Amino acid sequence: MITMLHNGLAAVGTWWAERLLDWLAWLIAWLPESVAAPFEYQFMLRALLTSMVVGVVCGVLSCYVVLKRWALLGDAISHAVLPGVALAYLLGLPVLLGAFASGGLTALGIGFIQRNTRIKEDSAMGLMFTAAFALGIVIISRIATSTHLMHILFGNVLGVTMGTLVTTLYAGLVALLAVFFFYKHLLVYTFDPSHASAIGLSTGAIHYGLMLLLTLTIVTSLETVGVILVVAMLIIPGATASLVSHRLPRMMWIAVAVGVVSSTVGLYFSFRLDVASGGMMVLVAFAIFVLVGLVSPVGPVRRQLRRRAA
Amino acid sequence: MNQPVTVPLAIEARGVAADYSGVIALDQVDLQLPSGRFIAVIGPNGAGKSTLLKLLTGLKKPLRGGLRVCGMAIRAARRANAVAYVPQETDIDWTFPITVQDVVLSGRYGRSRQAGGWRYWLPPRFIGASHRALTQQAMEAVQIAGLAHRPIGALSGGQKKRVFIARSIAQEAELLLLDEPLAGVDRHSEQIIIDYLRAFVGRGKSVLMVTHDLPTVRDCADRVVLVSRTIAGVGTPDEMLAPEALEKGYHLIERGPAQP
Repeated sequence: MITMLHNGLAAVGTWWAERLLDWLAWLIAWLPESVAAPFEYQFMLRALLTSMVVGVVCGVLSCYVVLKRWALLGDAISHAVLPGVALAYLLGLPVLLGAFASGGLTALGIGFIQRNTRIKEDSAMGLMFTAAFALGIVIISRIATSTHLMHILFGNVLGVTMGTLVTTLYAGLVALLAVFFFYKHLLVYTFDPSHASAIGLSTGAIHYGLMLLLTLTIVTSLETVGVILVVAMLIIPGATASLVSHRLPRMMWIAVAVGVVSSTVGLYFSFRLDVASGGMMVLVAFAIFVLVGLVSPVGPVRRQLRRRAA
Repeated sequence: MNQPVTVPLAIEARGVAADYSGVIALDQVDLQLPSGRFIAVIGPNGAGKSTLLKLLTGLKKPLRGGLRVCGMAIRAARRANAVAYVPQETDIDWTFPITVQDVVLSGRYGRSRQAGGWRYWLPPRFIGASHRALTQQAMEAVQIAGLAHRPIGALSGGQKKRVFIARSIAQEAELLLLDEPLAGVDRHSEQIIIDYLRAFVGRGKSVLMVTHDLPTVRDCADRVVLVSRTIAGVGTPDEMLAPEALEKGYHLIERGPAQP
């Protein structure tokens, strides 16, 4: 029964992924020859689509990470999923399952330390996630080659298979639908948890739901930017958007744009310059952040111009 | 506490205690406050006033004891949208990208759930005309309709408070909890807020206001609750603002929680 469902979903996903790839190829054909050339390879097209999905989902989630001040938590979760990913790989289980399990256990461990010792939240977090990360590295070094370890840590977007692409598409779809249907819940919870509680929303459920969404996003981005740099894609787009927007929906659109532009442009440059894709994507994102920061309404460029005018 | 039992109770607490990671913030809280009153909660800093409000909104679970608001258990009261909350200045991130209108509209989210239907699951822009109309009325009631599209951080202290009052109006609650609503508020805003609260109580609803502003307590409150790690006293403003009563309440905290 479950295998039938799985196979059905995989078939539908593959069909859609192929349509999306065709559409991307059609779009790219409009670009100048010199820019379009790398995308004549199927693996580059798959990498491009995966990067775009990651850019969109990270963009949306980064708004919550920035507004909820969860940057450290995002970093913690991204490191904490590693042992789960390694064990799932070893046992032939779905990677997502392992990631949720080890992310969840680490979160519980953080809570346990906080409640039962005098250690503060940031230390408890740092302690637990580095321990989990260390466990992951030990497991991986035992079962896989160092190339494989490098791929998990820093991403391997050029090696994305059709199967991974389909999983990424599904995970991205689930994350976006969750944000769409629980938009109000997440908004009230982020802005004023007391009000959320007073009008009958379960703040605990929303809290853990948002953490689950974050884990899902991180697992989705593993192949593309890797465990170590994924947190950058969960902070920079939202931080950039927060410089120039006064409403959450607009902030999300801007963050999505930053996410997609940095992941696609980063992919292109990484291919052209033959450098690590994850690192290049984060550098492009950071460059966008600096540019927007310079020209934002409170940035130095506009301030100079206003001073001249006055 | 010799109120006849025929009056419905806005807040009823029996032996309530609350803690933060094992440190007791409130203990042995017994309260029976009738509805349709303007209740002021006073007490020194760190006395547990804000904790009391967190218990009433359900954000914090009591360590022990029973708590009821408007005749319902906390959970039921939350589902019924019976309790509205106006937060303290420091509890809100004022750089949050949200407009005045969107904050006030969030007062309708719980009502939208109660009304049922598919619209509840969509983002707020699809919430529907009736909720929007009530949001507009709520903003007009405290004179902030002209600021509807401003970001929340661009307002003055008094305007910010009025936004949250408007959110509670939109929620149509029975009991309104306010944490320091008059701190850092200009005269004009203070007048609007006090007038609204008086009218609200006049309609048989209840107000519970945490404040340090003793002159306002004397002018407005029907009842005063003195909190100092426990309930140090309940009475009329004249009784509770008498020097000896205040002395008792404000000194309890230095000696730690009351011994059983």
